[in-house]
Amino acid sequence: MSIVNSKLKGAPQSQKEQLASCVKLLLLWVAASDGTLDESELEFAASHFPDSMGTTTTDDVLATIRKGDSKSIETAIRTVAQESRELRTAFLDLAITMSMADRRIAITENHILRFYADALYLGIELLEKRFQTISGSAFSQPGDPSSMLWWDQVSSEGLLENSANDGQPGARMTIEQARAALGVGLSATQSEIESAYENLTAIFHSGRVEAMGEAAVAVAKERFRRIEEAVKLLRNT
Amino acid sequence: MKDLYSKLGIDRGASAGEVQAALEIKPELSDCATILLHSEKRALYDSTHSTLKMIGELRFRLGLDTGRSWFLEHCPDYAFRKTAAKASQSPGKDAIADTAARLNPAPQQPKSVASTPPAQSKGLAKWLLPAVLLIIGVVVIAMLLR
Repeated sequence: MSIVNSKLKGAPQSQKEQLASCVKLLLLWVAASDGTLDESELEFAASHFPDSMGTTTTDDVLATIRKGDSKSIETAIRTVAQESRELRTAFLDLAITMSMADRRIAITENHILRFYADALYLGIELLEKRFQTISGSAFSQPGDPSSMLWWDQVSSEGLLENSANDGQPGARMTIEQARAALGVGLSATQSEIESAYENLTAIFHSGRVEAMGEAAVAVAKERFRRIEEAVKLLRNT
Repeated sequence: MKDLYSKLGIDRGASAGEVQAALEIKPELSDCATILLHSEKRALYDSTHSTLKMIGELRFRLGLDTGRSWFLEHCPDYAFRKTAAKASQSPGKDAIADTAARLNPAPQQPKSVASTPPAQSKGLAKWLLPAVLLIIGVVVIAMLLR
């Protein structure tokens, strides 16, 4: 970690700024990919991503994504791919937590995470491991909305039921949401909760991601806040 | 994941009427049409469609169009190589055979690591020929001097 930090401190400011806007673009792609950047996500982007960072504003980023401009995404992923393995892994962790923002990972988010894992030379095995740690559930196969078979299965399992109340800012966390924020199951013991808390606070410590700029820090801080809130709730029950 | 638009032979922005018309030509594709005629299903299909199109292009340009995350049963319609070959009609069979040959689900390795051993052996080969020539030259001179 200290190596990464000192390397970046020595680097010209513009290079650091470039990495920051690349990370911002890639993280927003995860959130916006399901086409409907819904209000809570927009609010999240607007309040968490400072609007003037280098030359890239949040609006620019969203326009890029809506246009389907793959050239900027390519530049961004190539830039992040040049960083240390430690930093690339920290980025993947942020992308995973971004995909979990509405608690159910969308098909598009699933494909994007797979793409990031390959493009950053981390591989699907590492993605599966990190996803399990961060979300508490296994990384699934992406769904197939071009197949009626899949649609029948989805409607019989009620998978698409709207969980709109989940991300409401200001709403109090339920026990279920707290378990999701800590990535633990229903049967988790107190000691499992404590060890999940310890793991996740280390993963989303803002010091681990600060080299990647303000957007990265914002995402880490938001998850960190949820982890703290969750553990308080679960310790009292 | 199948490309329903290309299957039905219509554009991404096709109206419900155009989908119906395509269905009359290809009645066996009624499943595809059902998905595209249902607004909720179509919205989810469309966002997945455009994201996969982008990922297909990106994976092609970055040389990441193989491996188990991409050649799942879901993605072949979005392999950029295949569409590009189809559009230009020239590389045709070769490009598809090449894609098939690269279907190897080996995990992605960092490029630098993967390319180091061949680079080293190339360097060795470069020095081997002059070295052999030098030894032969020395032997010939030695024999002539005798």
